[in-house]
Amino acid sequence: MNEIEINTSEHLSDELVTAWLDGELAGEERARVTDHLADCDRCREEIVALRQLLVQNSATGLPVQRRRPIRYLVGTAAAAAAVWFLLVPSVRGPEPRLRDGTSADAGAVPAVMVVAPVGEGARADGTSFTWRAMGRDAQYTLTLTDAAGALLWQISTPDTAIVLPDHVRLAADRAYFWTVDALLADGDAATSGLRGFETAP
Amino acid sequence: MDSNPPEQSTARLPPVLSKLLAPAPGEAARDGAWHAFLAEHDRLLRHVCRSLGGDADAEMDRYTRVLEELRADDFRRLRSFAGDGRGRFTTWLTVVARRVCLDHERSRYGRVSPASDADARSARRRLADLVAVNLDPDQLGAPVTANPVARLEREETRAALLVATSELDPEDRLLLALRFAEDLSAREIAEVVGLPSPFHVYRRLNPILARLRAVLAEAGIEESPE
Repeated sequence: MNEIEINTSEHLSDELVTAWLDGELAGEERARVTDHLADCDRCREEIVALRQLLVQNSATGLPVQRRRPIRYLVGTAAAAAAVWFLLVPSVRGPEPRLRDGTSADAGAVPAVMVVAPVGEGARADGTSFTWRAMGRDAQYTLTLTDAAGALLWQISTPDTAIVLPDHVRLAADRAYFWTVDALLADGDAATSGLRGFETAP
Repeated sequence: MDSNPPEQSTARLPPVLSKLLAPAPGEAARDGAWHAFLAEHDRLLRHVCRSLGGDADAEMDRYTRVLEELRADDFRRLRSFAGDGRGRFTTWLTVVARRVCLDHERSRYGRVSPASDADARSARRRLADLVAVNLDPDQLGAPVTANPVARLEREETRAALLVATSELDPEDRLLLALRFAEDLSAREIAEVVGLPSPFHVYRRLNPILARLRAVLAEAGIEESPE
């Protein structure tokens, strides 16, 4: 990787911010980046917001790669010797509003679980979309797109099953994607994430 | 700085990203790889877009913009992710998605104005309180006064604090900035910088503040009486 110069008149690159947040910087490079963060309001505010997002990502079970242990060098402002800490990646954030995965707290609401259609062999006409309920008074929005991401159909419903209307025609042997977003009675949101299916030949 | 993205070893990239960036036999295969990528990271991207507030339309605007940016120029931005083990792809994706969202907001609504003078004075007041010096914190950032003695004292204190903080290690200066400029709690500071607990933050901050008091005392600025 080419060395990236840090100019105090510039802000940090995507890669440097990423490496700093994941504890992958060391030595003089870490010191330079940390020095910039101490002086630059914009970059410092950014890493505070990003850390909160990353903690929420971890707590909601969003896919994250494995993390290597982080070593944090204690400054010697008042201490006589430098001490290395081996950090355990067990930081938890506040309970996130988006409940779309198992959180570390007991009783967390799971993601919207779709039932059908998934995978291959779906009907091209009269397709029925079904998912599991997210409690009383939840409202659902179903979004259907083609493989290129073009919106084909979107509908809001309090039900957990709905049939594709006649005016929305799917082609045979094609891939389609759908999402169910839920607005729960207590104001929180949940989502199924993107789910794909293929119509039968 | 080299403006070309570094050569990537696709073997080190997450599988869905590796497949997306590999030469595709056709448009359908490329679309399939793109949607496989979205199926894995869609929730993360939407979470980032939602985190900036606003209604569902605003969130979808940002989300659309993020997808456009990631797909632009044959996935140019995704290709810039260096798979050399420094940082996780999901962290990088969170950073990039949030930056794209903020750029989108700025292009539509203009830049957010910087912190006000009142915020800056408030930060200095909190630092002065904790350092426990005998001064009127409101004077640190107050308009120029006609009283030459008060003006001189204010300038001396400001200069002494500036020198004292500038001599700290970057890690310590960042802790001070997080505490007094961002007004974070010890728990929040621990999360940001990667310390195991709020107690580790206190253990680092207390000696820093003690050192600042000592430096100010050497400069002849007395501590306030208890």
